[in-house]
Amino acid sequence: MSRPENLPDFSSPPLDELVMGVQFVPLAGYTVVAAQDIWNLFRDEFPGLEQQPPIPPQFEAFGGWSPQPSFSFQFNVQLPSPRLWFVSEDGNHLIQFQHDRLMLNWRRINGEGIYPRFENIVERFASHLVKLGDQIQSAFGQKLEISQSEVSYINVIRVESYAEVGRWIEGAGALYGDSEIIASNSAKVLHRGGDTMARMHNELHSAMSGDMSHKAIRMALTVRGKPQTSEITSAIEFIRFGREAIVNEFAALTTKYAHEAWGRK
Amino acid sequence: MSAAAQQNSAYQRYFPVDDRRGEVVPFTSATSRVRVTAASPWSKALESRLNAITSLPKGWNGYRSVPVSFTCAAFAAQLIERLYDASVPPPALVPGADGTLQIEWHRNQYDIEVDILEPYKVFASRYDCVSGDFTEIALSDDFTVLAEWLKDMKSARADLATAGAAVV
Amino acid sequence: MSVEPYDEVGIAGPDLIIRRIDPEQHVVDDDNRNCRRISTKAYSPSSGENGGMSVDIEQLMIADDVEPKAYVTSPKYVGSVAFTAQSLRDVGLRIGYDPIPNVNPYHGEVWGTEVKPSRFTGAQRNAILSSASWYVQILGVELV
Repeated sequence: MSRPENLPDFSSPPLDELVMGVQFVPLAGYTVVAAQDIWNLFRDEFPGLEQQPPIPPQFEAFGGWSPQPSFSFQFNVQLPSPRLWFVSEDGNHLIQFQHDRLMLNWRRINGEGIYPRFENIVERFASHLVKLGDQIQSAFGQKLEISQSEVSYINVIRVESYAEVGRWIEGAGALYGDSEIIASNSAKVLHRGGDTMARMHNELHSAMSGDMSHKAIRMALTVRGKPQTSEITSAIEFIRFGREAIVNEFAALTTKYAHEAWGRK
Repeated sequence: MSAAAQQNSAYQRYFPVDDRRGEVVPFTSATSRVRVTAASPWSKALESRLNAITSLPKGWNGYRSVPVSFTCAAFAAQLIERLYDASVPPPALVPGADGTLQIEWHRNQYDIEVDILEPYKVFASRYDCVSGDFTEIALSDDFTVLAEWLKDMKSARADLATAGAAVV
Repeated sequence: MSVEPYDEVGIAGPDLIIRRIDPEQHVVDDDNRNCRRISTKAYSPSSGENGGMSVDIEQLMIADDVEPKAYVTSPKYVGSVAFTAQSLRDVGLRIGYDPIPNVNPYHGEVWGTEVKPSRFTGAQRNAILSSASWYVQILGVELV
């Protein structure tokens, strides 16, 4: 599928990482022993293996009086099912797998890496999901039932001082002035055709390079929600919807100066 | 926790202040299975109950029951947080035999029961003790109706005042 | 694994169907009725395929010379309620034998309709609630 027409396009956006993922009904009887077979599905392309703490379940819900809280519900004890990273040779791509999630990340390593573009990444993710679906049907007798989809664009804008934030983000100069620290979280509900579709989260933060020598502004836009059905095609369709919403929002939130710097087409 | 592979990014978020709203609740004991980083008094009040029902032993009901699934509990916790209303006491949480759970209130002459079978598969019912009306609906991710039901429930009912019924 | 849902002809209308109640898990405050009462969730079936509401069949215990009240109370289940089979069938539910080998030979299941055997409607659950009587009473808890 080709890029939607009229979607803002940049020749060199400040994109540092792109994540797309699904959350599904947990695999009954899954233990880490089964992880080997899962890794084998992707190992040719992702020969590296790392282990991370699991991500707790996340659900976007709507209605009610409380705004979506910064709220987490976690297991105290380590689940027997860690989050596994299957990493590509160059380190720029990785698959994240745990008993109830599959995600695909593209990321720059030390600021390096050519962005392969969303269309390529989402096609690969769709094929990964099909492979996973076949495997869990075979190994667990269970259908892959997707309950949540998400896509995140994490942008990093290098700056000399955080006071430059207004140069890149519309209205941020007035809000943050010459703040030493920037920390902002906001969210809004997305609709399509009158239906509630998803929630978009916007996180804007000051950032530092690992060696603390360079400053940056980090803007992460995430769209998350329940796809129309539990099928893979529906999850992919949701991710495409989320991507369009993010790119449009990113273009609206950033300045003309920024667009010129990033080569807006 | 983010799905971003932040650990290897060239840039780390820089703000030394904990950006989570609400109070960090320490683990209540070494054997607590769940931790709720809560924004509302409901969630704080229900943390130990959530811990208890996700820790039930198999066969806890005398038959083939299992503990409440963590996924179900996490979704319920999210819903509870979403519906929080300072004028309404926290709900009761009742485990099902099959890993599901029910959230319920019985007050101001309304019985509201929210049966959570799995994330996004919810059956909610309301019984009006005054009129005898019973409503049952299936819900997915939009809980506007539940919020309205709670709003109806929190107000002292004028029809009860005239009937002299107990209002709490 | 549960049997396929069916209605057992060997269970007569007046036969008692027993459901164990856990006072720590199944009892809630009811400000409307000014009491503590059993939640409707205590009368919910398992939501999986062929899932039903687990019960003990009194007639099977009697036939086996087992004291039913002692059996359903051991080792620690302090309370139980009972319904007549007819009262369950009157709201469209089905009752069948489902012995658990070496564990509970008197085990049975109550299922919903043909279309949704593992889901009772709210109305069915409330009907179960109102037709229940104490088999082994939990003090301070009402049947509503």
